Amino acid sequence: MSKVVLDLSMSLDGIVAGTDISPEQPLGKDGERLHYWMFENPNETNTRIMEETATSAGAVLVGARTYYDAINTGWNGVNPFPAPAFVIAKAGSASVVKGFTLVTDGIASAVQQAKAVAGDKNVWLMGGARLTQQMLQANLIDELHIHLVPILMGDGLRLFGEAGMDAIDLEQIGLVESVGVTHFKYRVVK
Amino acid sequence: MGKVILDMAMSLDGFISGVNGEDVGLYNWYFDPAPKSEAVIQELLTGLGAIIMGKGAYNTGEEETDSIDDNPYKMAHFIVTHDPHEKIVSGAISYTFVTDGIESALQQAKVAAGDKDIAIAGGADIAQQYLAAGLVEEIQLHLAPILVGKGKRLFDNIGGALVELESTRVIDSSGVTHLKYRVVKSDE
Repeated sequence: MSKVVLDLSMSLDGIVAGTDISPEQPLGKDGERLHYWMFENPNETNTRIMEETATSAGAVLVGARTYYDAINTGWNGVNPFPAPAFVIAKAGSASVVKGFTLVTDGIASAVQQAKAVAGDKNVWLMGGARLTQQMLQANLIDELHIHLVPILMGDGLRLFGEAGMDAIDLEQIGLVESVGVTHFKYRVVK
Repeated sequence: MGKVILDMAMSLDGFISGVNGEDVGLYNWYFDPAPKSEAVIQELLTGLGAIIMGKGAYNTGEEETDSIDDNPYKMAHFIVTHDPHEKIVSGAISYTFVTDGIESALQQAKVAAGDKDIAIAGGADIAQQYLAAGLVEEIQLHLAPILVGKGKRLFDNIGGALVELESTRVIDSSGVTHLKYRVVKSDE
């Protein structure tokens, strides 16, 4: 059955986007540094890992803030993901571009729809931080694939936030060392 | 000369303890070590010549051990604190209470450590001060597979400038991953 997999890049100090996020700067100040491992001459390992993320996804979940604040205009009206994407937002939100489906009746509904589309493949949760925290709290994430980048950003958007969730046990199921990044896979222990 | 190493256990969500300094399962790997973790611990025991810590970390250690001799780190310890206290000595173990700041503590630790490394062993507050002052040369994190949710976060208050690191070692052990990084100086 399809798993919900969080897959994103994070600095050693837990940050997934810099300060001052805008459509011109969707990852915030110094945010592109988080993706150097993917876009600046990726080695064989990093290329393989990127491909694995793309090919294993049958559907994509993205949070409203990520979509509207950072990416809506940046994507030029085209879904950049390898699979149908679902945006989770409040009722009355602005329409989304082709390749995206707007889901306004909650996270559980979005997960259900995404799983239906994904079939045997995974549902890739690509962020943002707020949606991730909500889904962790609701026990809706099966695996965390964290690409740990060897930098301290100091300031920016924290993946695991200030919210003060209950403790969640993980089991490390994968570890790949590479240049400029260490790839971790964890299973959420339920 | 030895290196200044920030050495701490940390959860995936960046916490080094619970809200009041509680263990919250971050030290299971240490108290019940798998073979690879045993080797990492041995490396610390033999490779370090001095340890720097804050008063909170010292108090926690003191509460949890019956006697000073239970401390396996037979070396000089320097406690950064506002409260003066007489030096405590037992064999090769000593606790010197440094009230004139992190640089003074580091100076004294370097003298005590000789060629060996110096560990900054906690708490978060002291670690942040050394990081913000650019005094940390290496970071070793014992990364525990847990999201703690709330507690003392290691990498708060370290300033807004991006710091580049270089991963120098990854040890995949049971229930913990030992990560070592070199801090890349801004003029490199």
